[in-house]
Amino acid sequence: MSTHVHAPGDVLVERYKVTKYLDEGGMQQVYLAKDVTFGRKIALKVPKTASAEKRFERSARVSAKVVHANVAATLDYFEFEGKNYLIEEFIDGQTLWERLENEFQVLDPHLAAHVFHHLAKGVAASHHAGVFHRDLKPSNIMVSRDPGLTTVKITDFGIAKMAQEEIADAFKDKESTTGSQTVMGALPYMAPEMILDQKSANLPADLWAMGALLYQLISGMLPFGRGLGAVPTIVAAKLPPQPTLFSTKLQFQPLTHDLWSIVAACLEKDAAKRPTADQLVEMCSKLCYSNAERRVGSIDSFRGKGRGNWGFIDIDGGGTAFFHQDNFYGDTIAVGDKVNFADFPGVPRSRAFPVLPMK
Amino acid sequence: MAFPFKLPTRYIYEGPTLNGGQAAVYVCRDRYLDRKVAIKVMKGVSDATEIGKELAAIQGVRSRHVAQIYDLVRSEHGGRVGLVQEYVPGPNVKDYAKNADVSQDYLRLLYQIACGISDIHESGKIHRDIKPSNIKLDAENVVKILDFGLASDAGPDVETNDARGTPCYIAPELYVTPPIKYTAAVDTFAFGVTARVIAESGAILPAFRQTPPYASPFPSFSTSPVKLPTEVAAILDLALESNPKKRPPMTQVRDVLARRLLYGKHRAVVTYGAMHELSFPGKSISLKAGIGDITIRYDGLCFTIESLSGDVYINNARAQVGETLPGSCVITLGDPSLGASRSFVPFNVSHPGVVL
Repeated sequence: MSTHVHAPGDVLVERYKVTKYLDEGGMQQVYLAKDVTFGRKIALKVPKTASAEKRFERSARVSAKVVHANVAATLDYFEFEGKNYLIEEFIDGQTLWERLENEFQVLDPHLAAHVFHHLAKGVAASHHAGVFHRDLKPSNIMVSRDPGLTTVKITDFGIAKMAQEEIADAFKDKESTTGSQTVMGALPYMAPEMILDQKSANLPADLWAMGALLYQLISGMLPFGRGLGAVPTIVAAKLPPQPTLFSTKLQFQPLTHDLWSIVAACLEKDAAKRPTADQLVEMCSKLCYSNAERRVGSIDSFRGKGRGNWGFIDIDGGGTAFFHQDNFYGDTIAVGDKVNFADFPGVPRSRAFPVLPMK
Repeated sequence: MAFPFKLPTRYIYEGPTLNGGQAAVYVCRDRYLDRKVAIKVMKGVSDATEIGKELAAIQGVRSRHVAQIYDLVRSEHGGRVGLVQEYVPGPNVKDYAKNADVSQDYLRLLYQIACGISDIHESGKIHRDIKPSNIKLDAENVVKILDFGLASDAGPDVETNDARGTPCYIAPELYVTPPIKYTAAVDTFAFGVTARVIAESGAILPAFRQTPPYASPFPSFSTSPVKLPTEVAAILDLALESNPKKRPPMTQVRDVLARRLLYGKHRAVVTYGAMHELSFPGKSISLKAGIGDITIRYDGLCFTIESLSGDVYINNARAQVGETLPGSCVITLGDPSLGASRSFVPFNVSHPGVVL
């Protein structure tokens, strides 16, 4: 971990007062700061290295062209004491990567459809503005902290160009950068043409990344594995196997069927055969999913096979809900396990659907 | 028309200038981010407090239907202030209604406007100048509500000495001797008029040019050129009620429109032996176990119990004919005394997401 560029209390251009360090990617550090002019919280981004600096302005200008609720809003860009800064709207949440890493093995098809539909809208808005993201992956997606991941926003446009250069270096000299966080993070979502001939890669590569991302959301796995070992598999573009829950969970089947056809359409080796972002939005707008408010709880009890196949959930914050095994999106149900669910009116308890096991 | 004071070098005036009553909006380029911005400057000279009020209103609202604010620019001696905002290319919904076949996406448009006004009201604010020219569509066809120049906080003691606003959109309760108490329902009325103007392809019907007491009633939305479902016409009519207390909250208007947008798009998945789907309006599904039979009908908006015989329970409560099924339930066929030999049928409803 590199040292922090700023300390709490630092004031930039007499307007932005640093509150605290938040996070960093391969290229930049992110701080929470207060915009004194408008009395609001904002995210302040600053490049980490001199080489990152070069691309930073381009990235800022690129992201500023996209105005959509599913894309983090670019608010300001300026130079201060020899450094460039990007001000983005502050999203009180975490990256999708963090949520997956800490909370979810997979997302149930309904939650996955919700997240993916919003992402598709954001990608379409950026493609309408002629902006190619280049690096769509869970760590470049911000989601709100609530159990339903209600707010979904894409961030870090064009930053990827820098990652791409590093990947090019990785292929030239595999020894030196094999461990690079940037390369290893980007690779699982890279389209075949990004690996084979970066210059020919364009908007359809974002659609490939969306396919890889959806596969990860519904299966809990990367479609082609991780590390440089994924390279030949990506280039071969052989569709990975369907998640096993797709065939065992009857209640989810109409939706899993539709989600799978999106994965297959996006992970098409021939870039010209992939859907456009608009076509993807069209496919998403036909998905039937339940977006009822989500809650978190834990399995209180479960009567196994032959004894009713149902059980109860202790709801965090109080109350209990009934659930049926058919609506549980996972393999094994164990008492005490944390679950994410929506609940509906019932007597004497509310009824949970869907029920998603958490880590 | 040039920009009224010396702009910081970051911004270049490109035009056009859009003139409003109290302010003018100058379309400029932000050179740092290479994008268009809209800079709003009040026409009065000592306008810093006016912009301050507008800012306070915008800052308090969290909504995808309100334009982002970026920066403040000041004249050399600080006497004049410009508010730098997201540039919304337009058109405004009046021009849109004049030039497009609004019947195609009328409900979606109204739904978006209702979402925006609901967000403003839920943030404790009243816009006070809702009208078609203050509602624009952005490049992604997302509705943006502009011009918070008259906006105020909501509350029991909110009053004003001048009923500002725009004729035709001013609610009847504002036509009284000051001080005038008002509520968020003034926006609901203005929304109702706006909805009619859009339906009339941008034309304002003569009835809306009256001042209270109204000699002739406003025409019902059931006669609107855009054919509307009964419940939508009814709630829009309510928005135009003379008594502000009878107007529905904007959240209710929003929800009625949202429900209608999903007409015929629901899917119920029923697992009874095999997996069955019910998704065509007017179609029914019958589950027969001998010990309890049920027929469920989809009317395009909800799933309702059409007929019953024997013992049928919905989420453990005895089923009633005419009852609407919740979004997820288990249908139990058979009396509870039968224990595990009853049939348990999961019934789950989903629908497309309305993502703007």
